[in-house]
Amino acid sequence: MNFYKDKKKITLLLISIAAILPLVIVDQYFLRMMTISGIYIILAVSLNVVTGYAGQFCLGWAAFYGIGAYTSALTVTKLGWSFWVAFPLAGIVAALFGIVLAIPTMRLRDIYLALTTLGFGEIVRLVLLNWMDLTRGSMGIPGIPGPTFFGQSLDSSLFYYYFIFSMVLIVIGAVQRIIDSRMGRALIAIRENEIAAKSMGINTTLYKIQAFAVGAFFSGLAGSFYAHYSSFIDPNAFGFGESIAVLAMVVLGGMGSTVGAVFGAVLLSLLPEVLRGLAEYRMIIFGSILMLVMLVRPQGIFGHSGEGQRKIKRPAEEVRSDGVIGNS
Amino acid sequence: MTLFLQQVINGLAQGSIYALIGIGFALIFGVLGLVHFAHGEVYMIGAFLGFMLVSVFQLDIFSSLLLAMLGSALIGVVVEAIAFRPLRKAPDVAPMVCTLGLSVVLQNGAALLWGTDTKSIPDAIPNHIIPFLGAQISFQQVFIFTVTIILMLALQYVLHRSKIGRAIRATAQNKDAAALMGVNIDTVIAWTFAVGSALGGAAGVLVGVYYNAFYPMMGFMAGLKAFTATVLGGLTSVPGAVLGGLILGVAENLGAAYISSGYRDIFAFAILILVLLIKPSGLFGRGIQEKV
Amino acid sequence: MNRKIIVLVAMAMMAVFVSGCGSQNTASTSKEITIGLTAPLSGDNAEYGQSFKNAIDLAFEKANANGGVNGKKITLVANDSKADPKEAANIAQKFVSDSKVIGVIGDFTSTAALAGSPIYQKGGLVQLSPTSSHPDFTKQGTYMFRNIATQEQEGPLLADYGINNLHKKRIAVVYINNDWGIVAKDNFIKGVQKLGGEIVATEAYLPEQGKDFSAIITKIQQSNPDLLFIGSMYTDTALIAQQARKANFSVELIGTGSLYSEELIKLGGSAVEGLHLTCSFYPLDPRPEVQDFVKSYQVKYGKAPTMFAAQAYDAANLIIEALKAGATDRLSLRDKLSAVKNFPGVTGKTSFDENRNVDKALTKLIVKDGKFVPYNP
Repeated sequence: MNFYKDKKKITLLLISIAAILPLVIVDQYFLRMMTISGIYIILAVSLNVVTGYAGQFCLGWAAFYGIGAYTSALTVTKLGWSFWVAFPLAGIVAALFGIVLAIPTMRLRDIYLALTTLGFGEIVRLVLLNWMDLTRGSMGIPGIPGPTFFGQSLDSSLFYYYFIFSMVLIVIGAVQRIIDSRMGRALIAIRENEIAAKSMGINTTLYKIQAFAVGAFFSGLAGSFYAHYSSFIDPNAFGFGESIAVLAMVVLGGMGSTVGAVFGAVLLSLLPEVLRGLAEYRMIIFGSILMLVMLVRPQGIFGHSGEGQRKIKRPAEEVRSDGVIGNS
Repeated sequence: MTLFLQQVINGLAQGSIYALIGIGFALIFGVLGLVHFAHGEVYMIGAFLGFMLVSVFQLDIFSSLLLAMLGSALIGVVVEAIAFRPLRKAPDVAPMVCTLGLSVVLQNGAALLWGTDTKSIPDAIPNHIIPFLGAQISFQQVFIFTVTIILMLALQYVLHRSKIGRAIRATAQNKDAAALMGVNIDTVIAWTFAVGSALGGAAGVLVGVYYNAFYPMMGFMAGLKAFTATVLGGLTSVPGAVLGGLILGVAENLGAAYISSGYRDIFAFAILILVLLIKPSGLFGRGIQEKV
Repeated sequence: MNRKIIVLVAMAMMAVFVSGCGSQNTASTSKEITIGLTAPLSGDNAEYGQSFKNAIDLAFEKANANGGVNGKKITLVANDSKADPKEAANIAQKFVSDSKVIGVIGDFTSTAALAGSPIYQKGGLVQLSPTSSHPDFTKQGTYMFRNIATQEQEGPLLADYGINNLHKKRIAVVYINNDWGIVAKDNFIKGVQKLGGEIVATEAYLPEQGKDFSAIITKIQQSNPDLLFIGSMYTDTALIAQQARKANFSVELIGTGSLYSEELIKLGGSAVEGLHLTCSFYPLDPRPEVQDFVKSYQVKYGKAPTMFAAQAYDAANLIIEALKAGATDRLSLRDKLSAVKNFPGVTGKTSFDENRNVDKALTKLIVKDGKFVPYNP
């Protein structure tokens, strides 16, 4: 692994650039775009833990983002709590929901799990839409205040940028720690062959739940940030389209690669803005890019061939233990 | 009682549509084991083809239906060639993300081509009401039921009495064995897409005529719901998809009537999750076996 | 090696993006006035956003043909918000960062307008919405304006129409479950209850549920109303009307000004005959500015303008009016705009009150022989 040293250097370089960027480029629009990418980096990296490393295909990821956002927004606007309490609370509540979603994964795999997560995501969105008394439904929650520190408002774009920047560093650091730990190895084992992992004594249920909890926690934090950054949220921001966008970032970057998730997040959150000039064709180009990447390099840009290569088992094609191929 | 019966009738009509689309999903999943995210868009394009044929070329509804089905079949084959065939060896995520991208392209392409406003066909089918046990069935609903039943009978014939049908079923059961028996897998897959897409296109035309509304986004929700129907029926089962579609249609309408219309879509998803948790293989699907 | 190339390409794109941002002109050209438009030009609400753009283009074209505004050419920079709050916020920042832009018209939906508000307020850039009727919108800051009468006005008027003019007692309500629909429904129901009417059924539907309203129609039919209020846009209303007729349900219909459009008639056909509505704009209004607008719009775009187009046209002309009154930059535009009084808009005389809302005279209309005509009790 001789490019390990290079990798470290490049990473440090990128981090330093990102750190001083807002001081060099004063354009507010640019700052906003960078901040938004930061949010998506966190979302993509956390989804990657569940889908990339643990191999649990999740199509409802935006639900945790939304749960975090609403938890934070509601506690601050309705209960008057401070952002600094609401923020971690948002992560915890999202993590709880993550555990709830993880439970069916004990028995379900592949496409069945994917569909369940899709259903979960849609149900969360529909509940947010219909439970008017709690969430004001489509009216949304306007006027979410920014964080304050001993009475001083911190509601400036520079603060938000550095806050998300620090969050990104912390999340990536935490995820890398997990990957390098026993849990990470267990997750990869689960991804590659869950039955084999189980038979080796790995408590697959526990690890899967942990993966969802961790991923959901970070996404919940991202949601809380988003709520205060935008000062207005509504349920439609957290629907299927958003889940797919984050998934596309992970897939594009390469499942099972944190670097890939970061790359995918930055690229796909900035791309629609770069293409804004071609406004009418923007979505078509976006969709075409997804297609082209898949056709040309399906393992994603930073994925290694061999990672996450599991083919979904069709019910009919099981190999019986006596080696006979056929319908069970 | 009237309310109940009426909602059941409404639900059956809607369910037939889900069934037609759902069959496509079942066929494709049975043969390839993959989810075709752009199938809803094929349905939408079929609908627009029908719309163009009736309003621009002034054809009657039956010819338009047939031609639209043909057009959708062709599109289905093209989609397979672009988005699935090259990715046969790739991880399963790839064709799914690819069709996801494709569905975005098709939705927006249709919007560019036809505009995003809703189009309509003035009264392609005359409007009569037939009273039925206190409720009523409209002529359009009769039309939908009739067309759906005819198409399904046709499908059954094709699947069980024709050579290609046998080949499709064989491939769905066991691709490798079928290949060993001399079945040309590529042809079979292409035909599967053609048939599934034709049915989807038919559903599109029926929906467009029934509600008199054609718009580029119509494929999205319909596709999701139909997919739920397919899962309910057992992902690989054609009769299952039909039953699933009908059940879903009726459940949705009853739920909307007796519980709340706002939460209507939740029923579909709640059913989806319940099925997956309790009996993931659905009503007719084969059981998932865990093998070491 | 492939990977490195991809990464380099991506970074090159980023560089292009960054440079694109940085090079916004810091001084506005003295020959042009630039106004921004944020509206859905693609996606589900594209037809409405497109009508905004059409109307504003028309207004600016006329102004430029008459020698421009204060001698300068006025141009429109349009950005597609897809009625998505996230996009709207990004566009807001884009406009704020572009010092050439001194005013913005938009957005179409309240959620998009609300999402952009904090940014416009911080950046000191006017956001004038032709259609946002969410009660909280103008409360977001002194730079938020709207030139549409809110549902707080329209709801009670519709209730009056239904109960006092049409003598109805049992009223059912169907509405689209988005922020606009909810507010419309609330205000209408409040108005009805104040006048002693009875609400016998209330049903909502979500926009993405598709176009099958049979479940709702059946339910409402059961409650036996003598009037049905539809709180929605013209496309859905036409479909609801059609499906109701098909189900043998021939109740009288009433709705808001959002229904004013020839699409309603085209899609609804005989099903919308006799539909009642209130509107700030109707084509038979004899005032010259209205006739001129309707004719020019028809000539240029081949179809008649909807209420949304009329609102946007007025918004454009309100901005021009403020410019003519001496506005030259963002702050003065805001000030001059809020001072506009009795502007003869195609949607009626317009004056901004201290909350930057407007009071509009609404006319009661009815669909007769496929046309919108004033209602004569």
